[in-house]
Amino acid sequence: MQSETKSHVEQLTSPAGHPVTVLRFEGDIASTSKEAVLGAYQALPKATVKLILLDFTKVDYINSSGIALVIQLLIEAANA
Amino acid sequence: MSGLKTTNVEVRLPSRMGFEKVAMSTAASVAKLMGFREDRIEDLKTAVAEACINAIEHGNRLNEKLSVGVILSAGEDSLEVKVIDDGKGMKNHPSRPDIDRKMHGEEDPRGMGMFLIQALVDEAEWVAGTDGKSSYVRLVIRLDKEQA
Repeated sequence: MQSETKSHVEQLTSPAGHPVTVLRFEGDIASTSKEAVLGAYQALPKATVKLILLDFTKVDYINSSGIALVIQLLIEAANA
Repeated sequence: MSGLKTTNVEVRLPSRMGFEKVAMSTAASVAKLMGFREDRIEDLKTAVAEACINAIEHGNRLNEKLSVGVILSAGEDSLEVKVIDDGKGMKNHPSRPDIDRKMHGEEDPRGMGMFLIQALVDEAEWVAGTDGKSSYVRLVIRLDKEQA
């Protein structure tokens, strides 16, 4: 019933010329989305990835458990 | 839906994550028939989803033998939604979430559902069942006079 969370990674260059890693999410973000949200972030090569853009424009549904996963991602990124 | 004092719609959901969306879409359909604005319908959908998730996860503890009852009562100027589970209800309400503390990892990132509900509807009350089960949350969203 819960639609799957998809995530994929793209590399862009910002207008200032900095490399930006974009994490694009699709579908639902809920309690079952841990791997798609945190796993996708944790798989990024931290040595080279410095700027990350989270793209939720194709997310159909996010609930409080999904927001909690995004907060966890932000905490991990802040501590990296 | 004019001319009717109260019209009830009932839905029973299995205690499985994801089925809150059935209650969301039912509530949205009823609210649309009543003439609620789109932004208020979005508020209602989120509040109903969070109430159902709490009922599935905490009330019925994901026991698929138990169901969650959702009763929508459409009145002339308001919509009441009761979400009923087989839990004992809450003894203590959780403390108000602090987003800064959450962002700094000083507070559990979860635990926002009740506060989303309270922020999005006109009334919200949590009632513990007198028999140790059949607890419910009651939500009310009112039609603004200009949109009625």
